[in-house]
Amino acid sequence: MVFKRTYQQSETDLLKQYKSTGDLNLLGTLYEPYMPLVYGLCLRYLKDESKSEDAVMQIFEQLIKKLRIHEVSNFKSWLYSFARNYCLMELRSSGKTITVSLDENSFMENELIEHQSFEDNMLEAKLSSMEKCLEYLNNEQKECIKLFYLDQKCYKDICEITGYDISKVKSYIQNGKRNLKICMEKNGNG
Amino acid sequence: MEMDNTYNIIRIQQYLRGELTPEEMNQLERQALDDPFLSDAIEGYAHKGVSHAKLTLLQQRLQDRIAQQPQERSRMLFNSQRLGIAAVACLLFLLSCVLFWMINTRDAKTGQEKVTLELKTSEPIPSGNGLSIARKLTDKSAAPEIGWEAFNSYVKKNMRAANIGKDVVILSFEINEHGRPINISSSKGKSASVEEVKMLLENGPIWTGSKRADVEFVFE
Repeated sequence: MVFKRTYQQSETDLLKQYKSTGDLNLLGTLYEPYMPLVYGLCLRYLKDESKSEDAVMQIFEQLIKKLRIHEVSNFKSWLYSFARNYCLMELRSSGKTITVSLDENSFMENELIEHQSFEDNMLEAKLSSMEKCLEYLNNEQKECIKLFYLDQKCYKDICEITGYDISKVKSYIQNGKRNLKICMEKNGNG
Repeated sequence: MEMDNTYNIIRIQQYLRGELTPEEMNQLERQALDDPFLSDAIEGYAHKGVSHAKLTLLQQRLQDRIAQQPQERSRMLFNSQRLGIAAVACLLFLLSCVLFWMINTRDAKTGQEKVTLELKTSEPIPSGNGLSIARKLTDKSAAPEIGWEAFNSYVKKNMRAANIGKDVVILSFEINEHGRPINISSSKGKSASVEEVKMLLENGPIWTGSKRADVEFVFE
């Protein structure tokens, strides 16, 4: 945790320094650790290796300008939205119909990432009060959430235990988690 | 339980190959659930596989791109230098313009002063030196085209002193379209002197500057 904080601290410093100096070395230091993530993300949307490689470089090119203008507080979540939008624009301009399945969870993603630190601290701490809320979930969600969070099983194992398809397991967990959060926020306020 | 931001691509690869223990897999899955960026990347690699060669190549491309920076910078520096030179040139140009303008306006002022001086000297000198003299009595009065000095010389040269003697004659007259004095009337002076001056006027130079003249002649 300490390491993470200092890392984020230095990220903020790098962003500030880059904004005032425009030194590409600083931007490179900032961007390089995220390149595997950006590349993977591009692979997901563009489904083409050479296009994804170019996209990684093009995104860097755009960062050169954007980060001199914009004030960015959370670089990671900002970069995620930016890279994702870039890929979606690429798809649109290439004239392909976008076949990316925007599963229901995608709409929560930004919300999730913003509340990440909140969840880190709160979700784990309130496991006990969560058990009460667990009872409100439907059976599939309850089963998968229990296996995933309490028994710490991976998706694959959960598939074997329950017999559900892996994509089903994923969505049960994601939706179950969202419902749990809503339930717990209600309890927290009440 | 948080992996630091330098995402361990090897772990993603191990996960996809099924080389992690169920606990480790659960850990990564949890992390991905909280981190859509990681989740999307894992999904991307799940389709195409993790290629370290491609990632190394990308890092190289990034370094190459960063290495281009000094050139760009020096070009920018050159531009700012040029800008500086242009600014100095502009300033110098403006300064010289202002100086030029200041010198010109000063010249124009001295010119004006000269003109007024000339106007003053063109005024007839008052009598008192024993010479016969003519001068205008009103500012609006017409003047001889040849100038007052020349006119006085003409009067002095052509008058018959025996007809006038010591006298002061004041005449008012109009100027016709040819500059000749007409309708001459006198308000002062002996009739012999008036007749003599009338004759001098009628035979004298033409008049300009106004349609009317009021002139005093002093003979001493």
